[in-house]
Amino acid sequence: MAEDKIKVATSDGGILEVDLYIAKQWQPVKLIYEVLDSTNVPENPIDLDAISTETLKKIIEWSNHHKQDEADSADNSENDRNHGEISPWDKTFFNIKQEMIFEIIVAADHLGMTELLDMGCKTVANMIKGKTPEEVRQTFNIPNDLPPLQTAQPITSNENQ
Amino acid sequence: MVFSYDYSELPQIVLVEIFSYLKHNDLLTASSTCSSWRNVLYHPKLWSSIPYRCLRLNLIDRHNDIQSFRYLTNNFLSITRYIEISFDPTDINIIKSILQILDTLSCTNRQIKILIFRPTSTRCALAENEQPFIPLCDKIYHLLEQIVESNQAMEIISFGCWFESLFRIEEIVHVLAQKQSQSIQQLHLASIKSSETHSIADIYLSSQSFLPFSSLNTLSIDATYFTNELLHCLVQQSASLKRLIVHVCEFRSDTQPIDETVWHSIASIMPNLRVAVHMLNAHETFRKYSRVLRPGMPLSHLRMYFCSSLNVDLLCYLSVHYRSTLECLDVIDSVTEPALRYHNLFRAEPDPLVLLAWQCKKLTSLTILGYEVLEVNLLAIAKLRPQLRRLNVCADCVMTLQYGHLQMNRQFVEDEDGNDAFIQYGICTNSIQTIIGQVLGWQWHPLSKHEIPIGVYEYTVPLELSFIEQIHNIFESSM
Repeated sequence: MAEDKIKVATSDGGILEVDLYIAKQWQPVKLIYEVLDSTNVPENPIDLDAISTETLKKIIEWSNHHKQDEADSADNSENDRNHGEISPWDKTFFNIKQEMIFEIIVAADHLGMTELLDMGCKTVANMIKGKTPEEVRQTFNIPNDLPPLQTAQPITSNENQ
Repeated sequence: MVFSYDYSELPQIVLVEIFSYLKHNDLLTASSTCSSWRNVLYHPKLWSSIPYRCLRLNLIDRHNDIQSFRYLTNNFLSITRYIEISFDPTDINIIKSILQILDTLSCTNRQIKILIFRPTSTRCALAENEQPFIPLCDKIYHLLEQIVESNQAMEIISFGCWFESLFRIEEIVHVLAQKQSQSIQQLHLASIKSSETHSIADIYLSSQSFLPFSSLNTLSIDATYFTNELLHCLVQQSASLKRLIVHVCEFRSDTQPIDETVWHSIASIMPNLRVAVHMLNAHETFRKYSRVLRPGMPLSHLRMYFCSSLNVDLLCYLSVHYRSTLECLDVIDSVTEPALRYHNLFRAEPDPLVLLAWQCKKLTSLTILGYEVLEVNLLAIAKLRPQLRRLNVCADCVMTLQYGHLQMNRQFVEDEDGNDAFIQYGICTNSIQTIIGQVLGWQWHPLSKHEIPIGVYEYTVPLELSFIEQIHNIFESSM
């Protein structure tokens, strides 16, 4: 039923209701259903302890939007992925704090959501493009633990590739 | 709530994904930020996705950046699929390093797809009569053989005219035909030999060796091996052949010219085939040239380096036989005093270069260095072939010619019917340059000294330095 919902518990103690259709795309949920071997909604909320409430809300928002995309045509998303293009909606979606992008990427990896992970990685890649190493460190708050001599070019610097 | 996040702690698989979207420069930047991001560079996935990331090794100046060289060879030789080695083959220590690289490749890498050599010279590290020369060629061959045998599906191999590696060319082709015949797409076996530096007796290569190659689309080879039989073999097995590059370094009396009929039948079987002919230090009469430049050959590119042989006969021949195929004519000769002439400009006939530009409808690139060219003819060429993307002449060789009368007082008076001629060199007025630029649609100027290959002005420099790099680039691009 389109109305089927399921409860999930997050790392900071929140409990959210999610469409079953969306939740079943997540690895941990899939596993549980395979083990239980039933289409019944489990009584207790499923524990997604690595993901915070806020992150999960964003992920559900993304899934809701892209649920329609998938219904329209399965091919479209494939093309987007290959061309490295991020749709305008996704650009807005990822226009958030670094911390949240990080959380979403880690969560997408954990939940096995390859498309969301792709989008997240592309977003991060776009944020690296055109910057100097120091600027990248500042953008992502990366501590520099390289010994001073090793900042030279790792690959010979001939032309472009 | 405060999130604690550390981008350097992202799982490696995620980082590899992020980095796979980055181009070369951004990859450098990203891997310079911290040690965990640096380590992502060593993940094979970054070196295996198409288009393959190229590992470029530079061994031209021995003392230049040893550290960088070691870093690259230690970390990437075993995972790269695309390797390009630029090196100076006249330095025996560099040759030793090359042998080490080949050895490491043959032992640790099973995934090489593209192997490209770019020696900076055609001279050997050892003189040919020196004892270690043949063992060196043997050593190189054995390493190459191991690489070919242990790799799965090599696609592109270019020896870059590296003489020592082509010494056992017959066996190399044989082992390639055995192990890589289905996957090889491009094979560059052409060399640059000169009788001053190479007095090797004939090296044999049978045409039958090429039969097994089914995916070959590009082949470069010496004219010595370019025979009717070779063409038949190529056509038989591989209808996918698109580019053929032939190197002519000397004209041997026993070379069999290819039949016209053969070319005509090939044109119908392989209509996409284009042939490029490179004449390298090959001074000859026009009659000898026509043994290679056969009518019916789909000649798209003719490049003549230091042949001193551009003349009316050749230009007319090209205009007649290749008017529907010729796309590029490059003639590079030394600037002498006076400059070479391809045509007696006092004759009333139209300039043969202008005629060629007019007749060859596909011409997009014209380079004539070292020969006098009249300014007005440049303008005519531009107007007749406005689709030219390249029009190169030496600024020093551009001439203007005015007819008139030389007075008793050494004054020159212009007069169309005059019997005296006033010639000026090295002048190409700005107004003419502008007009040519307007006709062609891009900013045009004749080339100054520093824009011209070194051998054109410097006679003491080995000639191949002027064109070997360009030839490597031609091998690697679309002609």
